[in-house]
Amino acid sequence: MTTPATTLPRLGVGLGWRTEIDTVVERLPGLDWVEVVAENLCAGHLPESLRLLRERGVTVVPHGVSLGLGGAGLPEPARLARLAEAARALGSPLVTEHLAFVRAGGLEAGHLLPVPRSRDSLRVIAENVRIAQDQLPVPLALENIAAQLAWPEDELTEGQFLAELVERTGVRLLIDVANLHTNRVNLGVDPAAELDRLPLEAIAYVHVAGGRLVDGIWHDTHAHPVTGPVLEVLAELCSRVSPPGVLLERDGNFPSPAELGGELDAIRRVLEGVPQHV
Amino acid sequence: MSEGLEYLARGADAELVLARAALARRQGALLAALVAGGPPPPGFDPEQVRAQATGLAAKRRDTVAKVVPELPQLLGPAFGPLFLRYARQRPQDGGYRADGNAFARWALADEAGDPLGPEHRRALEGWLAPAGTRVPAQRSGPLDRLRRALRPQQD
Repeated sequence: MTTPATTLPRLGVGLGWRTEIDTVVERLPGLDWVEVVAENLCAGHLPESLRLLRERGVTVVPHGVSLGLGGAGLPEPARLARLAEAARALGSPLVTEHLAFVRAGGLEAGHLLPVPRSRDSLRVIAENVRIAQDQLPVPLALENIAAQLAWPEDELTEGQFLAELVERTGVRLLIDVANLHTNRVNLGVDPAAELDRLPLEAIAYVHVAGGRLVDGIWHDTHAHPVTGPVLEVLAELCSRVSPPGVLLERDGNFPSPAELGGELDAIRRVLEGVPQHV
Repeated sequence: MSEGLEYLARGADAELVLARAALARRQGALLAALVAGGPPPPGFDPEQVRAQATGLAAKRRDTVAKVVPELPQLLGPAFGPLFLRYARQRPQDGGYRADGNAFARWALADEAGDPLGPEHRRALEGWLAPAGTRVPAQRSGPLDRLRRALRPQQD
């Protein structure tokens, strides 16, 4: 087993930084850190708001969405270089991406798609992860995704596949509890069983996000309030391990600062072990 | 895989090279089904593939509407259904602003089955062509179509 070479920092409770809510993020009391979508950054021209947060000592973690480490091709050097530059420019302790493919055969998905979880693709993706780790100045963590379809090739669950990647490459994990909930509703995957399969010590941080149920399908919108079942998956995770960080993702239909603060407080209560009344 | 030769020259093992090629084929077939109107690849649940394809098209529509807000403003409620029809026919090729432009040109092109009323047509033409460079609306012969096709894209 590859053991993590460095200890990951305690990040605390954070919020996804977005241009639409930059001043809100700056003023939220008690916010420990932020995450920023790496593709929206230009390392040479950081937004003023992020520079301000950095000056105040707030940790900023770049979160990539288009590297496609679960793809069949080798990771593209230019995309890796951009992610590395973002991490250097922000002085980030780690960068994160997804266990997903986003392009194939000259087509772009514009979204994160699940990989076939076979032994063969495990070897390919482990090599992709190692190549990425070689090019990045800080540790890499991979996130589980919300899927709407299953591959006939699947031999492993996503949790087992991520556990194998951790063992082979030492990659860290970003566990999205909203995605676990999504896969429970849409694909019948038990979040608790998935958590049992994960090497919890490899968790760098946790994502929480809201969504909504339409015609029996859970839509992980990041544009609706966080619901009880998602916080229950967070509580399930926290009953097993104390995660170094938790981050709320909100990408649209932005609520008032007070409402955002309330969602962060609800997350803090789960971390402190206060029972949820949902 | 364009980097294949260099990859082999670096001593990658043959099994891994074959695994990459097989993965590329499978992912290519699935993505073609999701964004380019291809058939669901063998072994997949066609319902799941259809649901994911719908989700991808809706996300593309919403992102274009956010990046190019002029389009939903000009077309109103017609924008959504028309964009989904476009997305089913044309996989995305480039950024979302370019996608918005390509959508407008598609909607104005003859082969779209003239999905626009005259008001929306004028609005989109005005939006695509900067003032003073507009092609008169009544001209639609082969040369005019060619000229429109060759017009530099405003990305």
